[in-house]
Amino acid sequence: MEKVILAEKIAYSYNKTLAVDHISFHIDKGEILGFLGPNGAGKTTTIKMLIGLLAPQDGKISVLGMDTAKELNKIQAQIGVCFEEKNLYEEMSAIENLKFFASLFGIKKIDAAALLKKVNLLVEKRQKVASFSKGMKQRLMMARALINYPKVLFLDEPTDGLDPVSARAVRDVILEEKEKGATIFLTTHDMMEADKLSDRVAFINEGKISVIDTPENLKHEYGKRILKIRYRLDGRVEEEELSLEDKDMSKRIDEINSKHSILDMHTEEATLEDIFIKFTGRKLEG
Amino acid sequence: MNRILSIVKKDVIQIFRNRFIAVITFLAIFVYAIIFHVMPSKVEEMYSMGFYFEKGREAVEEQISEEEGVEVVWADDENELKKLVEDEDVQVGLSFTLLEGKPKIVLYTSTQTPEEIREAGDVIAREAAYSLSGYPLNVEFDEVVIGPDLLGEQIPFRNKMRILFVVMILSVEFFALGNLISEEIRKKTADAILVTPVSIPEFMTAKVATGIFLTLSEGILAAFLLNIISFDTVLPFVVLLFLGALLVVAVSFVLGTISRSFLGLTAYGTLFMIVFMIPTFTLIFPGGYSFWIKAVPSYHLIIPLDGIINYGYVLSDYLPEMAYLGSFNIVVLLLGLYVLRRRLT
Ligand SMILES: Nc1ncnc2c1ncn2[C@@H]1O[C@H](COP(=O)(O)OP(=O)(O)OP(=O)(O)O)[C@@H](O)[C@H]1O
Ligand SMILES: [Mg+2]
Repeated sequence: MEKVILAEKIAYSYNKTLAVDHISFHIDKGEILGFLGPNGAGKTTTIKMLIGLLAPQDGKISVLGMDTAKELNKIQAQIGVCFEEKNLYEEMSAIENLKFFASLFGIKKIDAAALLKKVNLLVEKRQKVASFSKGMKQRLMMARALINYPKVLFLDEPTDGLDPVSARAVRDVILEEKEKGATIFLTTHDMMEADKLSDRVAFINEGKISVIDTPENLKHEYGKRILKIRYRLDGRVEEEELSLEDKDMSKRIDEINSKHSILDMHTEEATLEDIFIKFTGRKLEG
Repeated sequence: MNRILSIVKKDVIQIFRNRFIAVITFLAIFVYAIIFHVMPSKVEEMYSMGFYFEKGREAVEEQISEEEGVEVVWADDENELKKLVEDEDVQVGLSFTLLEGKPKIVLYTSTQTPEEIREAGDVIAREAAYSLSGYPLNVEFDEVVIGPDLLGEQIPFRNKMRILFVVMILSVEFFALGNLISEEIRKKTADAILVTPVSIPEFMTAKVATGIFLTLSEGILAAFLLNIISFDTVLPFVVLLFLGALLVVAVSFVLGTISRSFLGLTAYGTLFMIVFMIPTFTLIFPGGYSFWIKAVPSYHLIIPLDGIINYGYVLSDYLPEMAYLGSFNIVVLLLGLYVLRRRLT
């Protein structure tokens, strides 16, 4: 398998904070890697090194087989970036924004309307970006990332703060690009999103990657499936969690059943969030 | 190259889509042009003349008083007349004395006296002599200039002011260009540009090009509206304007990089603008100025502009000024590029 992105022991610190601490990972062609971590974990700093905005202070990065320290412009011609901040030209229209960025890639003719349709953004031709809602801006950010038909996409929290409809529209575009063979680096602190979209996820916390694997493997290996059981006790509703792997599970169910009236019971799979907490001792949000 | 032009085009659109910047730019250019055109094009409409007649004052008094637009002051002796001229109480002084029975006329003017008034004084003097003696030639005529010989003649105030206006219009670019750079950094649009094949040197070149293009075109537009450009002055004017544009660009780079908000930008911008405008005082109150005023780089723009446009000097008369300005520009531009470069990575 071709390694489209390869990071070897890369590190970056701002003044005294070591934001990224010698991490290594790779992404295969056509794969989506979900970079999952809480605020301040070092996700954006990692992306900035991969796209050439920050030079790693240690380690090496290659994208599409080229060294970012040597052939940055060649790499940048073939990548698309969706930033965390909505860094669009607010006083210009969506089409003006797209045309300007296309021109920087030397693309003279673009079908801006088709691109806007692809991200499901319906706007007046002359409407300025300043008047867009958050979701509209984010869709335009996605459209801009696709302007040069990139082989690799870097998406920094592309659905952060969006309503379900906008988030869905953005996710559909991501999956469509994957279908077409794009390699995608995606950061998020939404574990559901990481679960749904990623082929593999990496947990990052305090600048370090604690584990990288497919969501299924992680859940299979580290997650315990549980049984949730609710019953009435002295007029109150009690809830109890039993591990499905526990040998004494059925004994306990019988016990409850004989003493109290069971209201309901159902099994639950461990979420990535649970596994994340297990690995890092930290919640993803809050 | 195409990438740089694309950025310049975008920059110009972005600058004029900012209403505040668009308004102050056009206000500066057109308001100054209007002020210039409503200011009097003559130095003074009213002439004031002083007279001393040793004899025969009564004979001419009535006639002289009838001269239109002339204010007449009579002096009791020659020294008083000289003092009137020296103190600029009158613009010209005319003394009529008898030297061994022969009439002698002296016309006193000061170095501040405009050419037109000297000529008018001359005519009046000859007229007076003729009416007194009956013969135009039978008098001794003399002309004395009082006061230090300041270079050149008096020119209308508005011609001096238009130099100030040009410098003012240039300094408005501090805000336009400073805000452009500050926004690219603050709103992180610079990052979006820098992850395309555009390199940091290309990005910075585009910003310099935008600044010079805007400053030059606004300066030239202003020059047309202020009647500055003639066949003789167009080339030196453009050369000086280019040096001025470079200065403004260099300062704006520093300004745009150090300000963290629009408010900060306007505060720093106003401060820089005031310092930049201080040397324009030399236009209104000419004379010897201290080292501090001469250290302000715009002084070395104002002096050559004034000399070339208002007094007919040529560019080669101002080589030291241009050298100072040029080296200052290089230093500040390098500084500006350095600080901007640091903010971009
Ligand atoms: N420009 C900067 N100057 C100083 N420290 C910074 C800077 N940018 C980030 N940091 C620090 O580096 C660490 C990693 O930040 P980074 O932005 O990479 O995190 P993140 O995972 O993207 O977080 P978030 O989910 O909030 O976007 C944090 O501790 C942050 O405070
Ligand atoms: Mg981030």
